[in-house]
Amino acid sequence: MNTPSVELRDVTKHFATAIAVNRVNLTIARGEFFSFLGPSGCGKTTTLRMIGGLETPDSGDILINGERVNEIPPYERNVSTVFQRLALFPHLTITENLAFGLKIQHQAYDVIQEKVAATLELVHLPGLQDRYPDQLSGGQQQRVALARSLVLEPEVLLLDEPLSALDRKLRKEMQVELRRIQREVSITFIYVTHDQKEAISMSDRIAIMKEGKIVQVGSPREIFERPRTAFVADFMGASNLFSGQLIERNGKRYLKTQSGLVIQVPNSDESPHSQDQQLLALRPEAIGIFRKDQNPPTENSFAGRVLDRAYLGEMLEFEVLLNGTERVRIHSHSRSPADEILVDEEVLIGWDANSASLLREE
Amino acid sequence: MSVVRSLGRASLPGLLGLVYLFIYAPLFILMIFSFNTAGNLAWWQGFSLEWYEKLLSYDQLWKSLRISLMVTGTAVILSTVIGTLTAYALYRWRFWGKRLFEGMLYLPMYIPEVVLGISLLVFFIFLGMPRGILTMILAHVAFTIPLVVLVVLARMQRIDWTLEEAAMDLGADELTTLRRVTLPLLFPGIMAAAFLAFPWSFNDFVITYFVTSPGNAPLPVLTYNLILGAKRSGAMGMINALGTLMTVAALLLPLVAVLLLRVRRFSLPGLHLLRKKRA
Amino acid sequence: MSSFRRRVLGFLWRHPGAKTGVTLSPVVFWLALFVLAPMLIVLYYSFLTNGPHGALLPTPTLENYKDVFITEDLRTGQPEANWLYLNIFGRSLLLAFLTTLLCLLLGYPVTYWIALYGGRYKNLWIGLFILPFWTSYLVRIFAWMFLLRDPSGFINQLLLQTGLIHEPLQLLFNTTGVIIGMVYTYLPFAVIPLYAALERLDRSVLEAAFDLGARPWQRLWRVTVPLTRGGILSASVLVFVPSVGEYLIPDLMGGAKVNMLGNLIADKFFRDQNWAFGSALSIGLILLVMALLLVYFKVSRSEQVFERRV
Repeated sequence: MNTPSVELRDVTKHFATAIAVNRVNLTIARGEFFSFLGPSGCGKTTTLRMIGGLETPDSGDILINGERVNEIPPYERNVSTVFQRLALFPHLTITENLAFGLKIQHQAYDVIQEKVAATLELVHLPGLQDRYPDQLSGGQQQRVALARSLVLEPEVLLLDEPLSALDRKLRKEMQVELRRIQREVSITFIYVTHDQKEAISMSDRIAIMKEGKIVQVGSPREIFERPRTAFVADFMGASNLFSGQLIERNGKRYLKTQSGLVIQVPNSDESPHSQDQQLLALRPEAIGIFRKDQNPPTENSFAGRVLDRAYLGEMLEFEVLLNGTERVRIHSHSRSPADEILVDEEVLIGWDANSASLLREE
Repeated sequence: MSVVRSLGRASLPGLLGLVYLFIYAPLFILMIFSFNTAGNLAWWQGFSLEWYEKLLSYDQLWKSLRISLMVTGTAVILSTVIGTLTAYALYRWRFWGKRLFEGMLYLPMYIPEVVLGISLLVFFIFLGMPRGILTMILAHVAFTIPLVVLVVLARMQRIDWTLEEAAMDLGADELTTLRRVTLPLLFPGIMAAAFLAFPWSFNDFVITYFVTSPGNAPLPVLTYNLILGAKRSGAMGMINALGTLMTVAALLLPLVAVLLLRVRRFSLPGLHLLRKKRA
Repeated sequence: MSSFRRRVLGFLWRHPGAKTGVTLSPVVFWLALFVLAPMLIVLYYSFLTNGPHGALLPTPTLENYKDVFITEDLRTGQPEANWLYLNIFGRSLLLAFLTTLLCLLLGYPVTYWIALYGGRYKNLWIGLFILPFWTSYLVRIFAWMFLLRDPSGFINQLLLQTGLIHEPLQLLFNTTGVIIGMVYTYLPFAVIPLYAALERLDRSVLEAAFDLGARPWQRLWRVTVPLTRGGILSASVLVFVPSVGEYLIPDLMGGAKVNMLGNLIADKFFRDQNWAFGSALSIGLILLVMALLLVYFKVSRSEQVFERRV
């Protein structure tokens, strides 16, 4: 019962001369909602396709349900894929699309009818059985693609950026739906996306990939709050980076930057080698910005000058220059006192030491 | 000034009209004079069905038609199957020597027909094969394959190949995928290919002429013999009648095909993809 | 799923090369046997010596190729250029060139009009060019013979009966007849690539040219023609290549007076029973066509580069 759903051992794949996936090791538990997150070309789709059997790894092993499947063609694997382009059969009706896999399994007619109806119900898509895919809206096609895979009750469901073609509103709706459906069927979902918000809101765990390698695996909270590398920090939107040396004073740790800023860092469990050059990442929305006459409430507070300010709808974005060299990006609510701050104004900024995170290796 | 300009504007449609006249007038004149009492003179003498009677009671005509249909029917089926397989491999897979292979594949389209025909004749003589139906079929398949490949390849560019992966992902092995997904999607292209290969093979004269025997004359060879004979005997009326029937049949064929696609009740797998997309 | 089928497909899945091999084996078989092998035999024969009564003697020689170009003066025995054959080579090239030129001159303006002003019925207009493709090649040639013959052909009859001429015109069994026949047969081959190129043409470029003050003729020469060069090139090749090796049209419409290469080859094989020499001529014609295609591919590749830059 404790066999992992999917296991990757040192999986590597080359295309022509480029390396697409580089020694990936991973274990995905049964019933987990797992996401691969990364920019395009990072190898996440190739990894997914190898699990599905649409690509063969050059080396390493892929195990599904504890069994090595490297040479097993996709049609003999108990996994199913929802493709980015959906790939609904245009020459078949919705019912025929759903029944496609069941017919190949030679299931009885009644069973097929029953399963198709139940699955259409599950994805909330009644009354469209006899239409052709090109007669449905984008969101409905999405649900059909999902249903076509789910009806086979696979061990693992692979989803390759299935929502990328939908508009923002529909996408939000489908994210909630996917989560609901996953809870109802309790199948392992492996999801590929380049949208960090999507991954965070849906997944149990996330693997961040870069240039064919996994750089960090963890829960959305871990990844969001404790990025390990500058790449992850930047990808998750923590775009302020300070580099400097760690020093200790009065039992507290500080980062001393080259420009002379002394920043208190979180007292984290893992303590990095203190003499090395260190990176500290800080999210723009974690920083407060105040006029000169106000009192910043926190331990890390610095004076600076506003270089630029932009209105982003619900947010204001400021760029503030500290110590004449460090540029810091700050997000604050549009309906806050910060709204009165103008370009070229001298300001104070500050943040809670624990909201920053020390990065490890790069 | 404005006269010159409007003349300029009218000149292109006018030229188009003349070109259509150039294309169709000879065929229409041929048809009209097939009903003329005088077989040899292109001047109206009176209405007559004499040439049609003579033609239809000409035994050789029916024999030739049978031979033509047998050769073309077999050749089109074979070349459509082989050509589709070839197009699939060319489009979907990379393999060693692909460019060389492509160069060879289209050779029959480039080599002058007379050279290909004579080479085949020389080859069949070399092998000691008697010329006849079989040699005609072998030759026709060889020169229709490239045409089929080109037409099917054109269709392949418009297919979403993820569908094949989707089918395999849903449990269909390669053969099932081929039957249930790939072929239905390719069907319009395959039909179009067969549809072009048919006249290509049926009407071929030059290659056919060299690879058949006098006893096995398909329609084009019969027509040729009649034309040569008419130079001496003056029996052009019969050729006019034959030409009329063949032209009418040839022009009806595309029309029938277009109509078939319009009729909704007539259904084949994948056919609805050819029709206009429904809203 | 039977286990045999499963085993075979599993094997092919693991060995993609075998899959390609199985799929391509029929075409490779067919082309190797019925296209390549016949040509190789002709190549082989072209190096043999022609014996009496059409026999081929297995003595290797280059005489056949030499004979295409050089003959001996009957009286002096001195070698001199073989104008008999060189003339036929030249005539074939000239007639193919004229046919190509006429097809372009007729085809370009009308396809231009269809592509730009054809409106809803574009496909119908173009279809009318392609429709004769389904009719018999021989019937089409015969229809023209019926029109052109003298004195009983339709054109001569029309002109004689209306009194416009008093002596019948010689329209058939000469170069005019052959050119009419070839233009008629190969016009659709020119129209298809021309239409494809003109259809792809970006209309806004033409509008821009107008906007910048180009006159219609300037627009045609400076914008439209250069932008459709690829189509013009393809059309030229598609017409020129079959024209240069044409056999049937000069045979029927040239009345044995207008010989082209194709007729010469057939005559050598069947009338003179000289297979060795006929083979050498065949190889010569193939090489000529290959050379043309090679130039075409070279030029069209550089054209593509040009088009991409634009």
